[in-house]
Amino acid sequence: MRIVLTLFLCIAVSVPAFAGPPADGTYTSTDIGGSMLPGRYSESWFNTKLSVNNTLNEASWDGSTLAGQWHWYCPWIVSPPTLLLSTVDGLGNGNKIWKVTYTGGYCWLDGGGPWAGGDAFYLANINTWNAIVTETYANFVEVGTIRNHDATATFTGYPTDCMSLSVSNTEKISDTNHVAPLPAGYPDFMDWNGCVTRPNDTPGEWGDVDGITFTIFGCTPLATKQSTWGAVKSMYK
Amino acid sequence: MKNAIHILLLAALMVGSAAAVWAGPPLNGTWKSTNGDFDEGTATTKWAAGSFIGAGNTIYGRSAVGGVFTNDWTINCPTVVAVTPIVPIAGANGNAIYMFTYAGGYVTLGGPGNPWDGGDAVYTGTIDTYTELRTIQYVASKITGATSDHSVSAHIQGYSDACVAWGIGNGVLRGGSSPSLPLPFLYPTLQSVKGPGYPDYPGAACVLGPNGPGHWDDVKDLTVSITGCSVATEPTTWGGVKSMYRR
Repeated sequence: MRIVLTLFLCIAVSVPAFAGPPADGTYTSTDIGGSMLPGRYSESWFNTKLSVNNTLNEASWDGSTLAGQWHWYCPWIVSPPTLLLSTVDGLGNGNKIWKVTYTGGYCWLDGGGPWAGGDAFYLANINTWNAIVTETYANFVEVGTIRNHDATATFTGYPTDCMSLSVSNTEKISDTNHVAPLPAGYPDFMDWNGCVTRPNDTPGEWGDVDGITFTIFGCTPLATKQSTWGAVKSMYK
Repeated sequence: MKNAIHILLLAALMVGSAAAVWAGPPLNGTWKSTNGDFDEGTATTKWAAGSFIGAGNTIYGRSAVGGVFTNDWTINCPTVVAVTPIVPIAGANGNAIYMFTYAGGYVTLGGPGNPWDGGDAVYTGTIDTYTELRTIQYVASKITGATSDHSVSAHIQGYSDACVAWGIGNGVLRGGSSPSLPLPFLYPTLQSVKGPGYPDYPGAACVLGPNGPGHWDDVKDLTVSITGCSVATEPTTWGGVKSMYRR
């Protein structure tokens, strides 16, 4: 009886041990020749753009499904953005460049992605998230916005040096000042407080994510030894 | 006879002037490449001192579709005059952000076929400001990727001082020479050989040539705005011309 219980225990324990961390490597999005899906984003506003607590939600997009391969959600703006440069003239024409710092948030990766290492999925806590937000104005009206995003994250369930780095481009498509509500096919608006969804008719913006370079490092699988029945039995003799 | 020659010369001059006037400035408005209003493109930067992050580097960009250059726009040779770290790198792995301030150069906007077409074959704008914010990813002390926000403003030549164009666009690093400073690129994640869809390297006097070193980017998600260029021009009658020279 003890041997049977031991057998079940070994099987149960061996499943997570054989799963393994995501594969180290640098992955790029398909628009720049890689195998990783580009995506879409939304940012819920509290209560206008570039406000503290505005919360991001980015998800892969294959043309029909959101978040099938990756999902970064709930980093929020932690302090008032810094205006790095403004060329907007007295007529309200020109460009503005902002640096925005976010905090918190999570990363989810499908286990079947190009980083597959055995687990059904991977979770990570976002450590840092920065955005460079470049706006263009005509007659004091913002008529276009692009962003650089960069992030670092640490995978849960693995050693703390198992991390990821990400850089990407985004382009804003529209916002609730022009079109409401948030259209279908874009990630839900999220609330930084509790990381829960907000109604899609609350203020916010949305757009595309591409030009992604995503690197996983420090996640080399730990060596696993194959056990023979003799070895298992010998542990309980 | 002398008066007749005088009038003929004046007529010829007016015809020539009228042609230029009738060509006309670009139309005012805002257009986006992602709406299909005009083409996205590529850009190549030549390094002055062998560095991906360095003063003296010069950029040349041009609209392109499917690896074939088009005539919607060009960015001609603004040169980096200052590099400002915004978020520094710490250690061998991480992301860093730099601000590149450029000076000099000019842009062109093709006329026919483009939404801003006002009659001229091409519009040339002297660059007033050009700034790039570049976010760089480093892994094991190698550059694995980078994205950029480009922004530019320019005065359109040949029209009033109020006739200005400005724009923004995303850049994404696709490849480059492996720099000795500050750090090498990771190949083959990044390309080591520049493909045909990327411009040649901009050299002295903005003459393009095959020799680097440098790097190349895709340029996309562009927004272009033009304002102050809709100066009304009135057609001139012969009576009006002659009345100018009556005593």
